[in-house]
Amino acid sequence: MKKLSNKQWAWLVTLVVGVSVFLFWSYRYPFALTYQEQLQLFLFDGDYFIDRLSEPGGLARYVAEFLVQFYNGVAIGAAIIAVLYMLIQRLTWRLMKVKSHYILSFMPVAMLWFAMGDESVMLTYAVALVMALAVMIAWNKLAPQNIVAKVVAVVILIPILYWLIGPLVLMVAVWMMPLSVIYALALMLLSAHYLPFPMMRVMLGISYYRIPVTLPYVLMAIPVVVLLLGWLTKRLPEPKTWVLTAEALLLAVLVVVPQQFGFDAKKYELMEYDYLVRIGDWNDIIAKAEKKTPDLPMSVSATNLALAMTNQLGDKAFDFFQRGSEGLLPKFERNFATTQLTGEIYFNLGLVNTAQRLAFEAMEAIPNYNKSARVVKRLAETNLINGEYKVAEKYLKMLEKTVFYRPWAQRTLAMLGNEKAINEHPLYGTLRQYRLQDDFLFSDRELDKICGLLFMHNTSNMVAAQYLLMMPLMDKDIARFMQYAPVVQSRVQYNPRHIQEGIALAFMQKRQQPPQGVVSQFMLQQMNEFARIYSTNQQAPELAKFKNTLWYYLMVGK
Amino acid sequence: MNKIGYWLMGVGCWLMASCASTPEQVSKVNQLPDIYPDYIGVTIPADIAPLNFNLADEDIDCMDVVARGSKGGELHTNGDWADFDIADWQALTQQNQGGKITLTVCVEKDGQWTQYNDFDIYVSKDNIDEWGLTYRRIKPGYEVGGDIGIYQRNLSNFDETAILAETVVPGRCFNCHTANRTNPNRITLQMRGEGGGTMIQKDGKQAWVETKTDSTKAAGSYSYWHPQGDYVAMAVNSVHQSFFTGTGQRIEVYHKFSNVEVLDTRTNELILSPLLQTEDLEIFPAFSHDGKWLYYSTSKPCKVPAEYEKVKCSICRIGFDAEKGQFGLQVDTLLNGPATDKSYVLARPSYDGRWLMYCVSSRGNFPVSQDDADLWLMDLKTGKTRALTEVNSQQCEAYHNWSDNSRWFVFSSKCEDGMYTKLYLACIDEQGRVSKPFLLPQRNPRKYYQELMDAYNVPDFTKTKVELDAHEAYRQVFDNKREQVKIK
Repeated sequence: MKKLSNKQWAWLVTLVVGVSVFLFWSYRYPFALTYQEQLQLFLFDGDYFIDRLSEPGGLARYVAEFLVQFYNGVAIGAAIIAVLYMLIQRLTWRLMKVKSHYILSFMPVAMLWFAMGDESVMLTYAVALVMALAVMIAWNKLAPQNIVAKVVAVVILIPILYWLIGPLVLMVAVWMMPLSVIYALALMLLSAHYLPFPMMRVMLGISYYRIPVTLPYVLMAIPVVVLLLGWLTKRLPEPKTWVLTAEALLLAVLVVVPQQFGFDAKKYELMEYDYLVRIGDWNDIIAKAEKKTPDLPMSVSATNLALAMTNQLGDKAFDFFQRGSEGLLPKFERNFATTQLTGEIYFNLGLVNTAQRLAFEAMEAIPNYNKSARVVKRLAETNLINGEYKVAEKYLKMLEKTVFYRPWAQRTLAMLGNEKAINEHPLYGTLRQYRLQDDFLFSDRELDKICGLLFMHNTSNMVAAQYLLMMPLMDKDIARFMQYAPVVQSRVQYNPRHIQEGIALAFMQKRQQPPQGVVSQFMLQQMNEFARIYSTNQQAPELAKFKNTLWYYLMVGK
Repeated sequence: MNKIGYWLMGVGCWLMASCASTPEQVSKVNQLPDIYPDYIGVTIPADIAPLNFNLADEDIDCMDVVARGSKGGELHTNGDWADFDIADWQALTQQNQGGKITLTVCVEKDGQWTQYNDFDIYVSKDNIDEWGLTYRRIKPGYEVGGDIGIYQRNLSNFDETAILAETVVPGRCFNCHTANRTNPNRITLQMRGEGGGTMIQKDGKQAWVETKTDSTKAAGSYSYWHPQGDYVAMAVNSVHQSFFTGTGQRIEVYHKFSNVEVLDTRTNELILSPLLQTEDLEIFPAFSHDGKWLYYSTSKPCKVPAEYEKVKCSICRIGFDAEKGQFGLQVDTLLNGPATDKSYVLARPSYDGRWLMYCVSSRGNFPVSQDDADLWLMDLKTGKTRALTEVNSQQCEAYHNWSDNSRWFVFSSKCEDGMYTKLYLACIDEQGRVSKPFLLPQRNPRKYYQELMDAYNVPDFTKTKVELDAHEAYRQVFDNKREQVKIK
């Protein structure tokens, strides 16, 4: 068999890393991509382009946002990142201008991979890095020899490049002509004086990182590493075999380290829950929770919502870790992720106005003040349900200018004003019926009462019924539960396991027998056994077989 | 979008091709064109930006508009929407001051040209005599401020620039910017929450003070300058929001307490009066044109939010002696809220002392959250009042302010969609007759307003462009050094 040339080997290694990157984002953290996509609203519109170009780094940001909109298709998103990484590596390699030490050219990519474990790192940085490297290579080839021409070129190119890619222009300036970095810095400072941003934000990059006025050190270090590679590698001697082995090992470490340390698995798990809630894949949420019990507020809430949407909350709630009624309806927090998820719960309960409010709050909580396509879609939905067609149209027209939301927006635009179509829509029509007709002020201290009103208003709203009954149980308030249970049961047939457990316990506490047929005989036997064991030893190991019961949650509570 | 953005937009517009066919074989229809914004029959000042408009039907191929002045002059535009040249427009309006401009609209759709009935735009003999408007842009309600900002807009063209935007002072909530009788040589601005304080800028120099004292319950807000430029009246309150769960309303804004005070900006001393520091809620102060009276609203304390429907404000006034820096000893009630089961808020006297404009709603002391809030006018000579039916709608009208010559007023209205407040301008003559208001012009109004995710609030005229060093404001906010005001 013919041996591969060095060049072919190099390409092969690049390709292997590219495929690794693709697989990583496709299969290990796919929901990181969908999370990113929802934090922007890319519009195919001249004004949007101009708006982006009106600040330093605007072109890189525009290109990045253009690419990120494709993250809705995870495979496409993963492929985009893989291609960008491969480009960065190959361009770094071209910059190094040596035939050996190929592995070292992966260092910037490995650092970026590690950095992108932080979900606030924007793709803008990667795009700007590619652009900067491309310019540096072009400079190598096309830079004028005449010093005057060179200076003139630098004077012209640096401001343009600064405006297009942002502070990574410093790396290019150092490469072009080290002293020109002073010129680049002066331009940045000057622009900071006129731009509506704090100086530090301009210096660190307006759109490299989602949280203003900060930038992870790794991102600051990447340009330094690129420059060092560009200068030092050609001064290194031809590598011996052990050096090559060490470099290969280094690459392996650089690939593995980001996966192990750069990514917070719990955070990405929450992103997955959020995505599944967003697409309404309730069975997948439950299946995921059954594999690994959710223990963070967001994942607990998502699981409870999924159980309620599949009418299983009264049967399975205590199969999972619970954290009080806040696990059903979390308190409002000023951040995108939890607010958006909480809004989903209210939306499915039929509290359309509250869902609308939380959608607004979520969007405004995005640290870089981007708009969110997901939120705008939700705002269009809530206004459509409320019959506020003018406002709904405003949002739908915006979504019409996107790639992924356009078909939905056009279908929904056609529904505007068509009461019959909306009333017959499986989701919007149902939520219209669920909505409370009487206006009163929302209070997060009276959520059970609100759920009660929702249920009383429309007894087919079983999500509200389940939340109403589970809320006092999760708060360990049996007396309150016993006020609600008869109200629900007198209107609909609803007597799942945990409800029976609650009723049985309530009657046992009063030393009475529950009415005939309300609690099954088996349930009564189970409760008697639990009571017998518990009365002898409150920490008895045998109690573990009851750990999926309400009694265990209330009395043992571990 | 900053200035650079507008430059780029200009280049983009120039590069973009648009329709350019001319009307031929035109069929006439006996109806007025359905245009957005509705500029049919409005009255404008001669010094206003072009009243560009779109046809309500978005599926047209081309629009051809000819504007002819009653005193001469003609202007022609042809394209996707009526987009007049700024200089040509203003030449036409100047030439026709006190007259009218008649617009002929022809529309091409599916290859067929249609001409609608002509309509008129009246050019007032009164100029607006202001450089532009200042206003806050904020998301429509709710708690998280997001990228709020105070902006200024040149009324002669479409330029909008940020005076202070959230991007400059990230994470801070600021509001209630106030100039003295449209003159920005005196500005106040309040910043709430962490790093909060009151900025007082006099002749370009910023000073940041802490207006909360041991004797007052909170920092001052809802400011209003005394015409002499030394005193600022403020409300001291705690503002909250609650959200409706039903189908009709969205938000109720209420105050748990509120008093009124005056800050002497020369000495940084607060002037208090027991008549304005009561258990009642005194709010939204405004000095009369001569500075001798301070108007404000007051309501009895209620258990809000539960009793939000019981909040009924009256409009009162109290004397003020600028020489001595003292309040009068008597309060006059001009409009009694509880007696009429209404709430009267946001008294704004005209600068010529002739009128008092205010909001009337069924309840509350924050009219912009009340759907039924309307503008009313009191003749201060006769005390007669009337609803400004010329400008009111089924939705909320509020946040009105006068031009320095008291011939024009700006206000916010939710009349278009019930959610996003937009700015309208109208003129008023010596007899108190008010013209049909017009929506703040934009280069491409439908696109602009359709894509705008902000609501406008607290608009005011500004005599000249506001100069505020936003970076200095950033330093001051984050240095968090405030001069403590004292009680006089």
